[in-house]
Amino acid sequence: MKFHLDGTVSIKATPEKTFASLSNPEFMVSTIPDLQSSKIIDQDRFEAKIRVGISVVRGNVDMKFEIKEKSGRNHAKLVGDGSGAGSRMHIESVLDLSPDDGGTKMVWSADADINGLIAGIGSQVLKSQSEKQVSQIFSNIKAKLESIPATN
Amino acid sequence: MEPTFSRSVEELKGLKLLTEKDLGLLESVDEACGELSLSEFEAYVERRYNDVAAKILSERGLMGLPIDEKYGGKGVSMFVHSLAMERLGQLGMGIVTLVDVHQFLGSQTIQQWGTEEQKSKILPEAASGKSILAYALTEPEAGSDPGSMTTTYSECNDGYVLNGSKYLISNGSIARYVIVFAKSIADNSVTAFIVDSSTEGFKVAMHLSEKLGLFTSDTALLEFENMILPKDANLGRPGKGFAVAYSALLNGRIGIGSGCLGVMEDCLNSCVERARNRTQHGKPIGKHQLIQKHLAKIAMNLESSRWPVYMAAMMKDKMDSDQQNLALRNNVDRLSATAKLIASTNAFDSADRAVQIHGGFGYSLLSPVAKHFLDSRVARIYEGTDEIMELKIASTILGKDFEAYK
Repeated sequence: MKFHLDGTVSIKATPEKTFASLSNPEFMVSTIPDLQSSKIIDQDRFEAKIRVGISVVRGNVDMKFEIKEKSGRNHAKLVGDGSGAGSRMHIESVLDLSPDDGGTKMVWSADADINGLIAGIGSQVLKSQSEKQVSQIFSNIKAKLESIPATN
Repeated sequence: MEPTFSRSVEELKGLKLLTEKDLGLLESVDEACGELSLSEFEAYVERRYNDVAAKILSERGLMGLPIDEKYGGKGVSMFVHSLAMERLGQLGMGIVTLVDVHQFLGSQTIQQWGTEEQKSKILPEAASGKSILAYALTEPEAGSDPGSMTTTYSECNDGYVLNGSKYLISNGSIARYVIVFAKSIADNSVTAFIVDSSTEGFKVAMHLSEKLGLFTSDTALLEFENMILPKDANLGRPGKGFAVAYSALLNGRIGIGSGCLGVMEDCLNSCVERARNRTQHGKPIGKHQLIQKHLAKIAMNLESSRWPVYMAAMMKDKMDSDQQNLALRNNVDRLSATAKLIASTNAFDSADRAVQIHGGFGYSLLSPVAKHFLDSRVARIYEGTDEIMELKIASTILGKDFEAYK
């Protein structure tokens, strides 16, 4: 099952600082909700065991992420592949940053392709749950970035 | 807006049957459904009442759709209300039941039959969602034959004394106000009462959770033990309770029929998704002709139900502007029963086919269609069984002298 999500987030941190964080695997791992364990492979790749699911349909999925297309310090793409809980998933998320009144406007989109048990739940519920999780990730990103003291 | 519902709305907009205000309200219903879908799924698989549904609908101002604006409602027509129920039906009959009972059987009935004092007090609370409404006609020994009810009332110095029990009451344990029908000890006539559940003598005797489906809807057994009701608790004239009951059911059946449209839409959506993505024997199952046959039947079920439901809703609006026209009322009674009968039987057939298309997974509560299979079955029973609907349709054609259920 394929579905698409997108949105815009305003962050009270400069685009440079935001980009540096978003292209850092250690930072990205720290924003994933329900993270069970993680491993940094190199400066662009990381692995994460994440607890996913809805209500009684819960289980761990082992995901491999790669940060791609880092260009101009304002664009990046995060690609993830993984399996677990009777399901397989492939996620591609694109982030574009621009200055916004001293902070950063981040326009994001995500395309997910999920198969197996979790996909069987149906797109309406799955999309709703994904929106909730993505919202939590961006809320974590925002909280972390906005609490980092500004440096010159 | 959800694509299938959007298509429905666009068609009606093209026929100039909806105003900009109507469209705005339906957008709001669609957004509420998006917000509700996750909690409804979670509550369903955990087989429990969805305790956030009323809150979400209240926050969006959707608990008082048919209530006049002067009482804090939206004052929408039956036709627009029916479309709102169609969208809610995609989430399942649990939400439909909550809203149907609260609005079609509850607030609309109080709006039609209540005194100004009753309306001023209760309708604003119902419109805001602060107070939930329920409707209590059925008893353990009185289902399709409400005339055999054993709940009684007698007059006393303070008003009325109510005794008895009511069974399978949707919203029963969460309602602040319940419309209760009782028989006079003095002359056996039936009167409708607005019962405040906070009054001494009102008891939720049992939460009925051992249901075949409809897990996210509240269902209760209510008991009234020497309950003293004030003199102004009667809804409509004393002794004319059946007129109140039947007018409520006329509305409610349109609500249930509308919800069933949503059930069929969701079944169709889920099946199309499944047919395109599930591969067996080397190709998507949607390329197997027998699966296409099921899809075609579900689509036909939906289309053949839409017009009877829309027609009943539009004619109900016409009836509301011509209250004294008894021939029109009789016709709308028939249309309402016809809409419910056609839509509920088609919804159940569609859900059965949807489970079949989903194969083994369709038999799991985790699938998007199992709930429709379990829940749509009750739409062929509550607010008038298939059989009562058929008898009603026949009697409105043959005339009152031919009413088989008397």
